[in-house]
Amino acid sequence: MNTKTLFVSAIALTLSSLSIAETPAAKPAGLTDPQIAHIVVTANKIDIEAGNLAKSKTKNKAVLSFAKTMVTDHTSVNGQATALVTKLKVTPETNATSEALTKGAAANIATLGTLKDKAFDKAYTDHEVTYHEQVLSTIDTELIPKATNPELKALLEKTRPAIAAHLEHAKEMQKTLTK
Amino acid sequence: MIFKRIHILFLVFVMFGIRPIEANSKPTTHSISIKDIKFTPDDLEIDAGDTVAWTNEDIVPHTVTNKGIFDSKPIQTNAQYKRLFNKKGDFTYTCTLHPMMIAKIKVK
Repeated sequence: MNTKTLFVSAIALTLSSLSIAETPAAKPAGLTDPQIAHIVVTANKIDIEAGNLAKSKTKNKAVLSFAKTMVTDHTSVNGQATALVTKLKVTPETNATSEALTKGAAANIATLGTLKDKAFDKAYTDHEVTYHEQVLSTIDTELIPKATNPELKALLEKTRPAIAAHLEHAKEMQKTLTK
Repeated sequence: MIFKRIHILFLVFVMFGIRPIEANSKPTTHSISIKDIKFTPDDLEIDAGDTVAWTNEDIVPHTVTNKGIFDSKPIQTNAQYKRLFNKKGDFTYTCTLHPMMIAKIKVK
C-alpha cells in the first residue's frame, strides 16, 4: 500500500469513525451532561495532540502558527471545562460519541506520523477543516440542545465562536496551501 | 442686574475663547470587549492622551497587537490590557492568535 492509499484509507476510517456519532444506532437515546462533558474534554484533547504533532513536524510558518493556536485555545477550553465539571461535581462519562472521536483521532495521528513536509501540511490542514466542521455540527445539533445544566450550556455556547473561527482559519490555510 | 452680569460674563467667555465647561479636557478610558472572536467596537475614535482598556470575555486567549508599536501578549479569559495613546494617528491592530480579528483606533 503506497502512502497516498494509506492516507486516503486513514481519512476514510477517520470520517467513518466520526460518523458513528451521527448514527442513531450508535448513539445513546439522549446525551447526559456527564457524557457531554466527556465529549468536550475528548474533542479538545484530540486537537491538542494533533497540534503538538504539527508543531514538531511542520516547516511552514502558517501551519506552525495555526497549530500553536490550536494547542493554546483547546488547552484553555479544556481548563475551563475541567474547572466547571469539578465545580458541578460531574464526572465525565465515556460514550459512543467520545469513543468514536478517540478512534478517529488515533487513525489521524497514525496517518500524520507517516507524512512529512508539504504532504504533512496538507493532510493536517485538511483534517483540521473536516474535524472542526464535525465538531461544530456536533455542538449545534447534539451538545448545546441536549445540555441541561445552564453553566455547561453556557460553556458550550462560549466555545462555539472559537471553533467556528478555527474552521475559518483552517479553510484559509487550505486555500494558501493549494496555491 | 443679575442677567446683565451673566450676559457680560458670557461675552467675556466668547471673546477669549473660554468654554465654561471643558467636557473633553480630561483623559478618558475607553472600553473594548473581546467576545465571540471579535473586538467590540472594532472602530474607535479617541483623543490623544486617552487610554483604551481591552477585556477578554472569550473562553480562549487573545492578543491586541500592532506589530512594532504595541503587543499585549496573550490576554487570558477575564483579564484586561490597557494602553495609553499619546500620539495621533490610525492604529490597526489584530489578534495574532486569530488573524481574522482586525480592528482600528483613530487617535485625534
